[in-house]
Amino acid sequence: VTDRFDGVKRLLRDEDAVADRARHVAARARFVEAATATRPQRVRPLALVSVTVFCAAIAASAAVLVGGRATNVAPVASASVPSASTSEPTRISLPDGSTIVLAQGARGHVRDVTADGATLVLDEGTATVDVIHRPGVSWSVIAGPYRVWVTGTTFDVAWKAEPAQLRVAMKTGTVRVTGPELGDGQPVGVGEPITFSPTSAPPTAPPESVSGRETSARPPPREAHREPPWTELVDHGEHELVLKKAEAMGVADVLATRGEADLMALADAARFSGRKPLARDALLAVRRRFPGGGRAATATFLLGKLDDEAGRPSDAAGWYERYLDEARSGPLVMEASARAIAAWKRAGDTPRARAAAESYLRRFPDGPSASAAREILDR
Amino acid sequence: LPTAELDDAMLVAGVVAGRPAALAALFDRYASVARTVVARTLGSWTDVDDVVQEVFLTVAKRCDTLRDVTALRSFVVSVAIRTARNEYRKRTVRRWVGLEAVPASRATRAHDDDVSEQVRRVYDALGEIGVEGRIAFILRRIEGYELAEAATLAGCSLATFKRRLARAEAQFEALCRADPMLCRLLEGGRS
Repeated sequence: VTDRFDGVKRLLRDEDAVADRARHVAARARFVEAATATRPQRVRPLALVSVTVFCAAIAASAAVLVGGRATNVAPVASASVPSASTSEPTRISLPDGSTIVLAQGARGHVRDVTADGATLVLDEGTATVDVIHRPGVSWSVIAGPYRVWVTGTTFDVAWKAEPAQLRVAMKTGTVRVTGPELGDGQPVGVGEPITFSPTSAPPTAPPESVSGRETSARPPPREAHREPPWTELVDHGEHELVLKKAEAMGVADVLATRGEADLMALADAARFSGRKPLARDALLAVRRRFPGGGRAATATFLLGKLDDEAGRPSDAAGWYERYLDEARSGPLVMEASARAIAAWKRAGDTPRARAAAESYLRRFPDGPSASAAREILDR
Repeated sequence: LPTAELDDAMLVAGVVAGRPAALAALFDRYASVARTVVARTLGSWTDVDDVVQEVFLTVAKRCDTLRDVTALRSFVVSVAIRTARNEYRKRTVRRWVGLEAVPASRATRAHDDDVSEQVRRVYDALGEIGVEGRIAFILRRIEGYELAEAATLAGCSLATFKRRLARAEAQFEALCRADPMLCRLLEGGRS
């Protein structure tokens, strides 16, 4: 297969070959020094937390937090700590690697700490939240009547009770805010800070409107009630929201009635959240209800990937070969061909691995897996 | 074991424990790929080392969240993409408000003048594509990742990745066709 961008690839890759050893060594030394120097700082805020802000349960699980390994987390799902006001900015590291920095004067507490996330209840003031994005993450911030649903992002959130006002300023990623009159929630992305106020509160200018950069979301714009397509939600990392919507509707009904785009979005959301059986059901539903289409073929490929990841190489290879039958010129043909070889090899089925290798070389004699395929045939 | 012989699982364990030798080995093993991913996303080698530092500090800090230790390379690349994407946006904002000038010429590492010019034009063309499209193009067409893995690294669904890639390819090809030097590149030659 001739890639029309091969020339570009070669040009840039040759450029990479110009190595600068001295610069590399200097950069490495700088990194090692910085990484080892910053390690104690990861622990120190936790000690600070234990004596100032977050006592009780967090202190009890301090060893867990200091260890920092999600896998070592004790069952602290119901952990709750009393609110306290910070006399200085306070950093909190959570077992999932996420961090919260409470600004001076902020009041709040953390609850529902698990290996996959936590809930910050912000009573007053500003917090900077940095949540690591990964499948299955379950993070939120509660402020007054509002809840900010987080899937992996960095943002500032400020809450004041009188007059009731929530301000969200995104640094990276998106969050979804639910609360009074926000229906299924309003997504907030990077850009100008958004201020939310319940309509019962008297209209006030945003607290920092002197900069002219604030945007008031009260009353919530009509678009806030628009039901975003599931594909859009998945693209914004709102995997949990898609899963919750599907569960609220009834998964069986969803699989039987929703369109193929929604089913693929559900499969993506389930895959990214580690809900493999649900992903599999959604992909099978696409194949069953919408056979012959491009999405059905993609579903076939992804079923192979799921089986691959689940350690079922024979089943995976079967799906890849089915994809090759169904989508002879599909965009994943090269990947499916290569994966079929690897899967048969992992399954210990040498004759089929050889057949897959021969098939690959017929289609892609110069493909990225050609040498691996030849290696199998040469054995 | 000498650090060069550590597999990724042992390397991760060493990094999590904060062992300097493991940190150095991590940098030796993956700095090159991180550097190229960052440079290509930013469209320039200028200040790449600073961004790469940030990438590795993030990797070192978050290594303990890595569930599949065999996916260390992908983890480094995904952090590199995320960091470069943020840096690109920061630079764009700084340019908008006049705090940072648009570089008059993009720094390249090629020694040959013609090749250097060609590389510069490629980066200029890539610079015309939005950052998400550029990331898709780089992951798939330059780094050679499979579509599914590239989509995961870019942090989007496969369908979205394919849309971004198709758009980026069309844009990039049109820009190349308009430049005789790059047009030859598309046909497989060098200037």
